Formats: sequence, structure tokens, C-alpha cells
Amino acid sequence: MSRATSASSRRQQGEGSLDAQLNLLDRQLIDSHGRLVAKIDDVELHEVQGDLVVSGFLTGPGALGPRIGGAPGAITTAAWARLAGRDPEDPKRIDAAHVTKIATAIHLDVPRERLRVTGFEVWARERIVTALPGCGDDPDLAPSGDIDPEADVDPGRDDAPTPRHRLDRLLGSGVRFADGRDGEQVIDATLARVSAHPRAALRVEGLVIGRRRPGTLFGYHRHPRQGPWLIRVIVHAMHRTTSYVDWADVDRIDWDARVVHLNVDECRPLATR
Amino acid sequence: MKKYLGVALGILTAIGGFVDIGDLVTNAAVGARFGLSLAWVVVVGVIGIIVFAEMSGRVVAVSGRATFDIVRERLGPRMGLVNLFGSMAVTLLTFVAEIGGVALSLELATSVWEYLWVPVVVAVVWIVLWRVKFALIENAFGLLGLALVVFAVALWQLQPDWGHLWHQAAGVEKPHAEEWSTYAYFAVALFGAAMTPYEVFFFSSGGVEEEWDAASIPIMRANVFIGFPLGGLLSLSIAAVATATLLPAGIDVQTLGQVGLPVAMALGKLGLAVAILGFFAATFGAAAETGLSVGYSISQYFGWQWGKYVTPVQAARFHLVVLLSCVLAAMVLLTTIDPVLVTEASVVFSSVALPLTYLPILMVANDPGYMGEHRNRGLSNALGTVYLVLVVVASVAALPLMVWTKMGTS
Repeated sequence: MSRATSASSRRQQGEGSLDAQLNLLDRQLIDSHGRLVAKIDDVELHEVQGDLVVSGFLTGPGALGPRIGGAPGAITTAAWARLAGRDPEDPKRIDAAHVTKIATAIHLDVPRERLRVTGFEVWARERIVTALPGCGDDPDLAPSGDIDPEADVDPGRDDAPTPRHRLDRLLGSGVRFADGRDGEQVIDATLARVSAHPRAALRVEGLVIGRRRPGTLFGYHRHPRQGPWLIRVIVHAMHRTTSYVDWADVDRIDWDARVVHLNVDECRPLATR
Repeated sequence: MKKYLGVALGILTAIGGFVDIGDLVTNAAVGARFGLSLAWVVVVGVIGIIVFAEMSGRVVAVSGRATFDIVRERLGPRMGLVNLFGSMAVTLLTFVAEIGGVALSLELATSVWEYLWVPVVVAVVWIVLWRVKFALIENAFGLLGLALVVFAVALWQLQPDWGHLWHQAAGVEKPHAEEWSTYAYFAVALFGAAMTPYEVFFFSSGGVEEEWDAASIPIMRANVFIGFPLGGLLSLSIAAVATATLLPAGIDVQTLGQVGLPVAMALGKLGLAVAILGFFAATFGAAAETGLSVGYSISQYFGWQWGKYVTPVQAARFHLVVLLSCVLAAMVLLTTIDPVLVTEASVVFSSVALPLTYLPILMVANDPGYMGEHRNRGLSNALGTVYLVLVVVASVAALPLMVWTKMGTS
């Protein structure tokens, strides 16, 4: 993508911004009835007018497999695709529009039955649990007038003419500066709301660049005095060279080669607040 | 008044539920071989589990996120999976040991061969996990486990040389016949018996089951700060009665019956009956806790609905995991493996697996995004850091010591 088409102005890392890896990846999704839905196994990013916007959450083995990586990950994805009868490249997805609150867990505005992301749960319920005496019942499974259980709240990929990507592909991508030098790799992406609306979409506002494999600073860059002292010192020592690049400085992302091309010659220091 | 009764009940169940098969066997075995010269490790271990449980209890009370949810979130899917495999291997091993302990207790009471009891025990454990309310499981077995106070009574009845016991406990001295490597091995085993990963998986998930919020923190702390040290005293009295009776007689603890032997010597048949009741309650309660912990941890890693606060239909995958664990535990035990041997292995592997669970909790307990005003203060961080070093040292040392000392037999 080209940065020239971006409508958004350059923004600093602001208060209220999130780290995609730290604050979204591997967090628990909770439905409108307060029940547990799934983990966020990957985050779907959507190209909108030069911005990269969080469009959905990917869950289940189809999204988890590539993140585990290696043979165990490949086997996970392949086994799931075969058992569930799905395209291995098309994991279960929950649209980001359902998010009502991002806290220690991510809260959604729909009941989990309508999200249809829990095939194994349904299988275990129908084949095993309900066959046993005393399994209880689920009031939410009873048909009610206003919810059509067949209504699919996730129309999927078909309505999306613009390219969609996985955060996991971005994390670990290499960085190439404008002068052709190769830098370190992307280890996190900072996110901010596109508008002041509390449920506005999240866009990538910058990338955290570091030497290590994708891994977070566990929030130690956001709260400089976060304890305990020993862990803080170790995390900071491991991330001595970790730096930051604003989204405005990203020229384009080569998703196939996993290289982020920058239009600057160096990163700036990671702001600690 | 009702509030105080609730607090008292919580403390009593924390005492009665503190001791499990690992504590019973390891403390008696160590007392019979090393006297009270390793008592300091029990103290270190009990303070460690207090620090760890208080942090994870506070995290779950404030954020509603149980331990393995946080392990996955901080360590990521790959290291989280490594920890899941390690921790579940240890917890399943402990589950097997606890069920074996229940079967052994029933054998002591009935003289019916322990392996005949195994299918019965597993079936009853599963029915309890399937049907019985969480609070009832926790309270009933915790209160019955108080029968183990009989060990403290036995110690008093044995009228040991208190000065000699104190002298042993106060100095780091090993009996001359033992090697320092064996001493270190049993130190790691005692540490692992006191700081078992499942205890924290169960404790924090129990916070969700009982719907803790920030207002529950004082009650949670009362249970931990009063109940756990008193439970630790029970552990020490098991070691002390073994020191007073088995050590002079040269008896090496190989069976659960030998753990109860000092009580029989001090208090006769009735005392032994109470001790066996205590064994039964402690191991059955811990079997329920470990069985649930396997389901909790796997479900939390994958984000599945879990818990006994919903019906089995609403948490189908969780109950499938619990059911499969029960079947697996029965299969392992019916190979006629010795439950005491499984116990000895499980406490050592507990030490190995602990750091990968401890570290994420310590980090999250400091994270203002999770904890706000309830994050760790100076004391909890000072202790937290000391124990971070200790759990890492114990974890690294455990396997080499196990091989070097041939599981403590050299």
C-alpha cells in the first residue's frame, strides 16, 4: 500500500493507545451474557485508505496453528481444516464491530451461539455431555423470538474487496529503511481509535521494532516504574535497542516477503511514559 | 455474625485442604530420614505458596482472569503451550497420586486391595466433579481434612524431647549417614510438595467460581495468611511425629500405612481411624482439585467456557477434559503402579514446572492495566522477587538432583 493515499494525519503515540500484541492477542473474548467465547488467536487487519485497521479477531486452531509454528502448528491447522471441513487459510472470525469494551478481556455485544465459532463445543455437547445423565440445561440455547439461531452475524470475507491480513504475519516481519539498509523486526504494533467515539475502529499508528522474536515488553515501556525491579531491569536490558516507527513513516508492507519498507533512514527511540 | 462464620469456614477449609498426598508422604519420609533438619524448607515453601496464592487471588479478584488465562496472555501461544504440557503432566501425575492415596486410605480402612478400589474411587470422583456444587466440594473435604489435626495431638502425646527437636529444626544439619546431595534432593521435593502448581490453578479458578471481586480481597487474604500457615504446621507435625518414632526405629517410609504408624503408636486404634479419615478427606479433596485444575487450565489456555458455575451443557469441552482425565488416571493406576512412587515423582516435577506459571502471575500482579490500585507493593514485590529466584533455582536443580541421588535412594 502507499502512504500517499492516507487520509490520516501523523499522530504521536497518544494516551489511550493500545499495543496489539500486549492488549489484544491471546486475550479472552466474552459474550453478551458474560460467558467465555474463545481466545483471540490472531487479529485480522484490513487495509482502508492507506491505514491498517483492526477488522476482526481470528480464533480456533486455524489461527492458532500458524502462531505455534513449526510442525506442531502445521499439524494443528491441517487437522482442524480436515475435521471441520474448512479451508485452512480461512479460520473462524469475529467481526471487530461486535466489540463493546477492551479491558483485561474483550467484551462482545452478541451471545456466543450466534458467533458460530465453537464447533468443538457443539460437538462435545451434542455427542458426549448431553448423553450423560444430569448434564443440566442451557437457558440460552432455548429458541427465543428475537434471536434467529440460524442468522449468521459474520458474513465473512466475501463482503471485503480490500485486502485483509493477519497481525501474526506483520509481527516478525523485517524492516527496510529508505536507504536500503535492513533493520530489526516488527515486534508489536501500537493501535489508536480512528475517532473519539469509544467504539470507533482501531488503526495501527506505529510499529515497535526490536531485535528479538515477536514478543512484547510486557507493558514495561508504558509504565516505566512497573515492578518488580528485577524483571524491569531484565526486560529493559533485553530491549536496549528496541525502537519505534510512526505509521506515517511506513512506505509499504510486502506481505509475501514479510518486509516493511520505511521512507525514513532510522527509527526513533521508543517513548517510555 | 454470618460474615465471621464465613471467614472462619474459609480459614478452616484452607487448613484442612492444605495437606495433600504429596505433603503427607514427603513430610513423613523426610521426618523418618532427616528428622526436622529440613523443617526450614517447609517454612520457606509455605511462605512461597502464601505469596503466590495471594498474588493470583488478588489478580483474579480484580480482573476476573484466572491463572492459565494469564499464562497464555503473557507467555504467548508457544511458551504457553510448553507450560500447558508441563503443568498438565505434573497435575495429571498429582491427580493419579491423589486417587491412589484415596484407594490406599480405603485399603487401610477395609483391607480390600487398593487396586480394587481404584475404579470405584475414579467413578465417585468423576460424579463429584460432574454434579456436586463447587462450594460443597471445597467445604466438605476441607473440614473433614481437619481430622489430620490428630498428628498434632499425637505429637503432644508422644512427649518428644522438644529441645532436641528444636535444635534439629534450628540448624541446617543432616544426619551423618546421609549425603548432602540427598539432603538437597529432599529439600527440592519438600519445596515442590508445598508449592504445587495445581494449588494456584485451583485457587484462582475458585475465585471465579465463587465470584470474587475487589471487595473479596480481605477474606481471601485471611484464608491465605491464617489458613496456610496453620496447614503448614500440620505438615510439620507429620514430619515431627515421624522424627520422634520412625527415625529412631530406622523405618523408611514406603507406604501410606507407615505415614499413619506414629499416630497408631501414640493414640492407638482410634487415633489411627481418625488419621485414615484425614488421609481420605485430604486425598479425595485434592483429587477433586487436581481433576478440576486439568480442566480449568486447558480450557483457559484455549479460551473455552469452563467452571462449575455453569451447567455441564454450557461448558461441554471443559467437562470432556475432566472426564478424559479421570479415565486416564484410572488407566495409569490400573497398571498397578505404586501411588507413593507417583507422589514422590510428582512433587519433584512440580518444582520443575513452577517458574513458567509463577513469572506471568508476578508480572500481571504489577501491571497497572490489570490491577490499578491493587497492584503489588514493596513487600509483595520483595518477597515475589526472592521467590522468583528460589523457584528458578529449585526448577533447574530438581532433575539433576533426581538423577544424581537416584530419587533419594543413594
